[in-house]
Amino acid sequence: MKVTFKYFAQVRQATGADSEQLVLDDGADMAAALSAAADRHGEAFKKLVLDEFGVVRPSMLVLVNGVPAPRGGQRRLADGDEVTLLSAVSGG
Amino acid sequence: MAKLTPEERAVYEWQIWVPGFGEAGQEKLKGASALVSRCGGLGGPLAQSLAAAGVGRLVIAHDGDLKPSDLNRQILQTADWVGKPRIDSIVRRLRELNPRVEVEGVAENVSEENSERLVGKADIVFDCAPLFAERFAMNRECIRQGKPLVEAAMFSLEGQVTTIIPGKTPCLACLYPETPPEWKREFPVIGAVSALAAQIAAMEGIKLLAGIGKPLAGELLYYDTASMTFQKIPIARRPDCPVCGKSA
Repeated sequence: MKVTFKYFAQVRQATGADSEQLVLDDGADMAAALSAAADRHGEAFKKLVLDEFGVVRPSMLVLVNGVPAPRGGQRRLADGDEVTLLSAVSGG
Repeated sequence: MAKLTPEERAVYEWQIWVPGFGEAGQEKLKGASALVSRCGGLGGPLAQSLAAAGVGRLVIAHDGDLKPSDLNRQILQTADWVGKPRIDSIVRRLRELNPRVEVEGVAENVSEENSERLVGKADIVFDCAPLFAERFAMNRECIRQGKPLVEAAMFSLEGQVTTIIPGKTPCLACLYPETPPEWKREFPVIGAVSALAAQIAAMEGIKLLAGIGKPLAGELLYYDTASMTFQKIPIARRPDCPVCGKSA
């Protein structure tokens, strides 16, 4: 199945892309999807988005089709879903 | 209620004309106080709008001296002020803009040590700080004192704004329970992007103080000026939040 990833703030910096489409196994969950994205984008992405156990960091907002996803990574994805990754930012 | 003078009616005429705001809204602003921390690329234009709108008392917390690299976004500063205390310029420029408003400058950034005192000076707080430690201190104290906190932030070409109403909405620790890894005090941004977040945050405060409109309560407004996309994201309280959750 094809899932569109949209990247914002520091995640955009880590991937060098605004968005992309990844091909995942049918019925893949969020944990598998983020693991695939991490494999593709390497250490900077992995460090920013996932903790040492491969779980989404609390400083990340993860949305599926505009709705926040549970933090555990168990959210099942479907063909055509849009996953948004948004990192915490500050003023200055 | 703080009554308006004839001169104030003349100065604020255009906003008094706004349906639903009127003279009553202006009087509410006149009788209100706000803390802005800090007052750089985000807090500067925000404080400027609050002063112009006639919020009666502004407390501005900002430490440090002006650097050349501040000038792309810190519009209350001037090129001849490099090397001098930012707070002096901020207070002077705000008073020049609106001498009817009381402006108190505090040459400190919010910390665990001073947050009770600084938050205690105002009816509403605007978080414009770059460091998460400051922001978490402000958040904790606003929840403790039951004061609304407008959260604004930006990065590169993007911005985020939400309004925290203690007991009703998620707090900052619900939204982001930890500092992002390797967060740096300095980051890429164009001044207009921070000014945009500032104006949205200023309107959040003006709405809350005047009792008009609907605040970004339980919603995070996110924008990307690269594509001029604006999106509201629903955000929820965390029952286990150490700041505003049941066990707090």
